[in-house]
Amino acid sequence: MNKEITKRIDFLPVFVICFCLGICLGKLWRMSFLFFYIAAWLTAIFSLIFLRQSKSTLFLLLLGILLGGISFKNSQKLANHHIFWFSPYKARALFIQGLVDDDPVYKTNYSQFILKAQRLKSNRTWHKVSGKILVKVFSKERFDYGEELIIEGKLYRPLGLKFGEGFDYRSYLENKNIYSILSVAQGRAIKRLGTAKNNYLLYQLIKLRQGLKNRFDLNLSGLAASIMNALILGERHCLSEPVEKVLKDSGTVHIIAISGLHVGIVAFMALLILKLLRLPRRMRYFIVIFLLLIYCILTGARVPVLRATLMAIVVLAGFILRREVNIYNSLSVAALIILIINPKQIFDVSFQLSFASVISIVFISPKIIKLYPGIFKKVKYLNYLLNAFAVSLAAWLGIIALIAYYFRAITPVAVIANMAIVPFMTVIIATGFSLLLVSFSLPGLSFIFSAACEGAILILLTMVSFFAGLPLANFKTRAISPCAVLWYYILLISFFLSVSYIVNIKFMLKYKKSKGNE
Amino acid sequence: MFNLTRQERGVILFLIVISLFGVGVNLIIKNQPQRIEYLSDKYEKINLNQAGIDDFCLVPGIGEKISQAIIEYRNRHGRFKKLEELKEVKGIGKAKYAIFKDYFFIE
Repeated sequence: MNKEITKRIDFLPVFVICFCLGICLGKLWRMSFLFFYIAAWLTAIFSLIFLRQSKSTLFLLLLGILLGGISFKNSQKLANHHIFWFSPYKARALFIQGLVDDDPVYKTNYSQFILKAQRLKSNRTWHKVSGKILVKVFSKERFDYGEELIIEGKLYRPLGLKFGEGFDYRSYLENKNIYSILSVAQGRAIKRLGTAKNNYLLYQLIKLRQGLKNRFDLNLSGLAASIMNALILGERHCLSEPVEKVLKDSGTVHIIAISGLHVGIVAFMALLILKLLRLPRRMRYFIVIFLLLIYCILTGARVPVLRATLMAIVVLAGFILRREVNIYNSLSVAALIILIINPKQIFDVSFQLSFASVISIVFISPKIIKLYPGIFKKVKYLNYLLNAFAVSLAAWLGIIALIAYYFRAITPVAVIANMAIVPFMTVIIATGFSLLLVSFSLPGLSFIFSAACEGAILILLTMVSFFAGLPLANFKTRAISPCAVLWYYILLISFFLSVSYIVNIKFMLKYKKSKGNE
Repeated sequence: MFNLTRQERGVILFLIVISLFGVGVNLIIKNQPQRIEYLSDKYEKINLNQAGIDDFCLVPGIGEKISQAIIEYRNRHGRFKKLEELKEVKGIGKAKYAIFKDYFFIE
């Protein structure tokens, strides 16, 4: 029975890898959707025929590849009335009616939001359209989620780079199912038609996010509020350019992407409060799952937070069902769900960085730890430090090639910087959440927590600037090809697999020798 | 003794330490607000007398041309003493100064 369960658990990560391969195949191979669809049906039939034999597992894996291809091809198919077909390469002036589909972002000279297109007026006639448009309004006007608008602007397709030339804005938007941009110059007509009932829960969560943002703005200085808004609510656009630059230069920019660290702290705090309320264990886990989902949507449900939330839900579900959870399994579930919703996410830089860093930490860091001499492991604090180094090094090794490919930069200082910054971040995030709780429950005491936040943020920035200023902290690289990135990962995995193999053999020999002496 | 778990003791300790730290910072903010303001400016804004082309280009609306003009002005006239001096830089008039001034500070 146990053996069966183990086999089933091991199958999932391999299936997800096959699914990912299928998506890549769908992108690179110009076969039609129909080909993948028919092949999937045939494979399913063969799998059914050989169900009693172990080779049916191979058919299931092949089915995984074909399903990946199907979902990618399906995601590429756009409806006949999709806004993409009306978007020229050269900007064209027209009117568009639609709903504001996210929380608008306000920059210095323009505001930006996603519009769910409904109608388009071209050549004096209205056409029914669908799909999302990125709208940039060059004025001081403010917009709300769910607002229905008619906007006059210039519609165009974003510019793209050739495949393999690093970060490509068109692909970045296409991965988010956005194929067109509407540029609205100052003075252009914007007619507000009222607020439609788009998504009530999302509307309320956006209001809550704005309320929490106001709490930070009210209690903290401009600098501290912008950093707290980024750290806790994922409002990255609030950060000033110098702060973002120093974070990038020190290789610690990931701290402003809501991810596992944030989700872990929210789960810990929620579990603790619920425990103090003496609620039954299972009920606590259900409530925490609900709260994590709320936090995920609240912070924009971007890939890193979605991954972390899904992984946490799998772990908590394991506690509820009293089942041991394999970390690779929970990662696979998270990846599969994200990719089923939008298979193009696999080509998104944030998906790749998020999964590459977690996989590296899980796969590489134990192998680095194995290499330490046994004597180091006996000193408690040294052991803690070395473990932190292994995790930081593993994460860095896991994303270095992607960073070099997309951003043409390498930040060696990130290995040491993250060892100091990440533990400190835990304190800052916990202080930020405490400030929010206190500002709602005991506003009179919030000055203490707001001062603590101010101080902690200044310490954080001092640390980050120090690391960014170290010699050889970061340097620019030349453009590298996708093949080079692939080779890097093949070599990295092979290296650590062989290291692990050698260490295991050494251990076995040592064990046999000691047995022989006995 | 008080039937507290290790986690609960940890949380209470965290809240006390943060409160102590907060009271300390609060006192510094009250006594030396200019120091905190300086630190905030240092991280949030760009030092007009030390910035290079890359730093100037971080400001929305400033490209390489204006960055070069600011550096040339600095080399010719020495350190900026007032933010208003930016208006005298080629390519920055009163209107652009009004937009850019919030992005810089002078040490």
